[in-house]
Amino acid sequence: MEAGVSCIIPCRNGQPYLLEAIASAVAEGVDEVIVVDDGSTDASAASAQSACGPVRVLCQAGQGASAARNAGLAVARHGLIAFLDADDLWPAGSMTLRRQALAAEPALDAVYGHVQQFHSPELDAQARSRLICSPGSLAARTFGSIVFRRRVFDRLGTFDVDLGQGEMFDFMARFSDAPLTISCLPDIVLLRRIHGANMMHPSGGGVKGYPRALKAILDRRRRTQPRA
Amino acid sequence: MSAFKVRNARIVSEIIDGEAIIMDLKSGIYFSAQGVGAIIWDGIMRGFDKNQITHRICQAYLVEPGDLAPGLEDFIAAAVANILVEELPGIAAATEDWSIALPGARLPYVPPVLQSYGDMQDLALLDPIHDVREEEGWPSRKVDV
Repeated sequence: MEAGVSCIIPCRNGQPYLLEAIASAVAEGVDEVIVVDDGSTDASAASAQSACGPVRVLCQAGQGASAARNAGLAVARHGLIAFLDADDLWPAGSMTLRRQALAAEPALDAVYGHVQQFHSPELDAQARSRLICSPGSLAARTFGSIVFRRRVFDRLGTFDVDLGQGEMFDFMARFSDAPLTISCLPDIVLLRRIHGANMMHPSGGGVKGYPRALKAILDRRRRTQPRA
Repeated sequence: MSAFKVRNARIVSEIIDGEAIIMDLKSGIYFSAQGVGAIIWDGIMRGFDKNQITHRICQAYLVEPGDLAPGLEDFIAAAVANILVEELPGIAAATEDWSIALPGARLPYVPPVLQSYGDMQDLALLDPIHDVREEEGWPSRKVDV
C-alpha cells in the first residue's frame, strides 16, 4: 500500500460533528486531513485547528461544497484521494480495506463500499421515530465511500461548481463514461449520520441542481455517444 | 376532465432547453422527455388537463388531436405508472395562460417518449439524507428536533 491518502473534509457550519469526523479519518491512518472551511459562521475552523493528527485547515468565503472539495484537491499531497462529510464517520478498517483493494489492482481507478446510516446519539426517541434511518446498508458511490486515485482528477478535472448538489451525479457520470474503473467492496466503509431535520425535500434548495446536472449528463452523452 | 398533479413529495423536475428532466428521489430513477413529451410534462406541472395539453401540442406540432391521443395517453400512463404524477378526477384544470413560447412554425410530430435512466440510483437514494440549506450550511448543522 505504497500511496498515501489525503482526506478532504468540506465544511460549512459543521462544528457539532466535525471533530468526530476528523478523528475517524485520523484513526484510519490517512496521511493528511484537509478541512476546507467554506465561510462557516460557527467555530468549525477553530475546532478543526484544535484537532489531533495531520490536519490542515483552509478557509474560504462561502463558495459551496464543490468549490471546497476542489480547493482541497488543489493542495492534496498524496496519491489517493478520499472525501468525508463533516458529520459522517469512517468505521474501523474502512480505509485499510479500500487501500488494500487499490493496492491489489493497479488498474483500478477507485474503490467504494457500502454505506450504513445511523441516528446521531443525541437524538431522543421522538426524533428517532420521525427520522428515517434505513436498516442495513447500501452500496453507494457517494463522496465518503469512495477512494480515488489522483489520476482520476488529472483525467476528469474537478467538480463542477455550478451544479450544486448535482455535482456527484455529474462527476460519476464523467467517471463512468471515460470510462474509468471502480470496484465495490462488500464491507461497510462509511457511516452516515442522521441528525435532525436534514431530510431533503424536493421543494428545498438542495435538490435544485439535480435536473441541471442530469441534463448536462444527457447532453454530453448525446454528443459523445450518439445512441445514448 | 381530470387534471394531474406532480407528486411533489418525491419528484424534482425542470424544463431545460426544451427537455423535461424529472428525478424521482424515492426510487433514484430519473427521466427525460423531449419535444412533445416536454410540453406534456410542462402542462402537467402547470395543472392543465388533457384537452388543454392537446390544444397546445397541436399549436406547436403538425398533428391533429385524434392522431395525438394515443401518444398522449401512453405518456401519461407511463408517468402515472412510474409514480411521477397522479390523476385528479373532478379537479378543475388550471386557467392561467400557458406562457411557454411556441416555435415559429409547427414542427413535425414525433410521438412523446418518457425515457428512464437508472445509472445514478445509488447516489440519488443516499443524497436525500444531507439537506443543504443556505442558512444552515452543509452538511446540515444540528437542529432542534
